[in-house]
Parts: sequence; structure tokens; C-alpha cells
Amino acid sequence: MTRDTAPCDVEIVELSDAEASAAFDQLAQREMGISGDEFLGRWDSGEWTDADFDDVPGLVEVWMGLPLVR
Amino acid sequence: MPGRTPDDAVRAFLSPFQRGLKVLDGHARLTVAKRGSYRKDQVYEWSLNSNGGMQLGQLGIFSASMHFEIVDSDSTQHDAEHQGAFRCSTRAYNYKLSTPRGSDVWRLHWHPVGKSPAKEPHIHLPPDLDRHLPTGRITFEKALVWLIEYDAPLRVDRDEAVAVLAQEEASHLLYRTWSEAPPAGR
Repeated sequence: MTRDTAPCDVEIVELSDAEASAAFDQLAQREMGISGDEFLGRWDSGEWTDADFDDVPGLVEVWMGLPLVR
Repeated sequence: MPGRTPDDAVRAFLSPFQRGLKVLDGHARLTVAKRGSYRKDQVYEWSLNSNGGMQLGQLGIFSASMHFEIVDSDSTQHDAEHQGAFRCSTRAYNYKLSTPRGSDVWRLHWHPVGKSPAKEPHIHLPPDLDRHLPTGRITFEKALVWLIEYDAPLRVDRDEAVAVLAQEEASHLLYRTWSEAPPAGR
């Protein structure tokens, strides 16, 4: 994890790949009650391809986190 | 704002958000996964406190995340003081204010993927959070101004906070490539 606090005290924190993966897992668990790996598997299988993102609780939030791991 | 390198462009992109968040009284950090290195044509996400949101006293929790992509900068779109080979372009955003009990006060969305009937920026408001109310593009700074309207705790007085956010928003408004609906393909 690297930090950039200048010039103000709101930090920019760059996550390592391991930290990002853990953060994605936490996000999927919290928002959809599934692991990050399960989300990725279901995403790749096309489960939500035809879904209205707003109709699936937590999907917008977890989809937003996808660049943490991909 | 453009940057000489992809790293510079990301720093220039995030700095206004850093400075804007500083007006709020709460713990805030912008987290981003660099995925090895910042490079063109890769979508990245920044989020507030690693997607955990920011506690704002009794008001509740403000959550924010944004997708951005590093793209070539068009030198004709920026003045001589703001030149660089790269800049960051927003690809999606999600800002949300929730009460301490977890009820959503508002959700500001732009997620131009999936089969959503609302691929353009919209807001969900209670009591019917299923409705997509079009908003045009809402800047991060504007979302922070909304928090001030909801009496979010501040580190500076209200007028100064609004002035800081207006200043940080100004360059974005000057250089952004769309305001109401994104160009086709985004």
C-alpha cells in the first residue's frame, strides 16, 4: 500500500493487488452476500448480462469495484 | 487535467477530489488499485475509504466511487499551462448518502452498461428508489455541495466550503467533454 498525503490530509492510497483483491471480496460479501470469486464467476457466466443493474441489490456497487481486480 | 505521464494524469485527476473532500469533517481517503502501473485504455476505480464510505457525524454515510480511464489528451482542448500527453476520463460513478440506520437518502448513478433503461446519469430518491430520474452529469464536487445542503459537518465555514468546491469544479466544467448525456459508445 502506498500513500500520497501531500498537499492535504485526505490521502490517496494505492492498493497492492492483494489488498485490492481483499477489498473486492469484502465489497461483494457486504453488498451481495457472496465472495468476490463467486461474483466473478457469475459475472463471467453472463448471469447479469441482461439485468437492469438497479434491479439487483448491490450489483451497481460490486460492479463499480470490478477494476479492483480486472 | 492532463499529465505528462499516466501517473501524472491520475494525480491531476484525483487532486481536486482530495481538496474537495478536505472541507468535510470526517475521515476520508481515496483508494485506488493501480494494478501494477497506470496505463492507457485500462479502467480504474477510485472509491471513498475502499468502498466503505465516509461517516459524516449524525448525517450518515456518504459513499462514492468512480470509474476512470487514462486516454490521450487533445492539446487543442487545454490551454498552454495545462498540457500533457495523457488525461483521465470518467466512465461511471456512484454517489450515495445513507442515514445512520442505513436508509438511502439519495443515490446518484451513472453506469452505462447492462440492460438498465437509464444508461444516462440519474438519481434514485425515496420512497420509490426504483425510479430513474434523469439528472445530467453530476460532478463529485456537486455531490459534496449536496452534502453541505444536508448539513454535513464541515472543517471550514459553509461559505468557504462552497467556494472551495466551486473552484475545484470549475476546471472540470471548463474541460469536460459532455454534460447531459455521454457521447455514443460510452
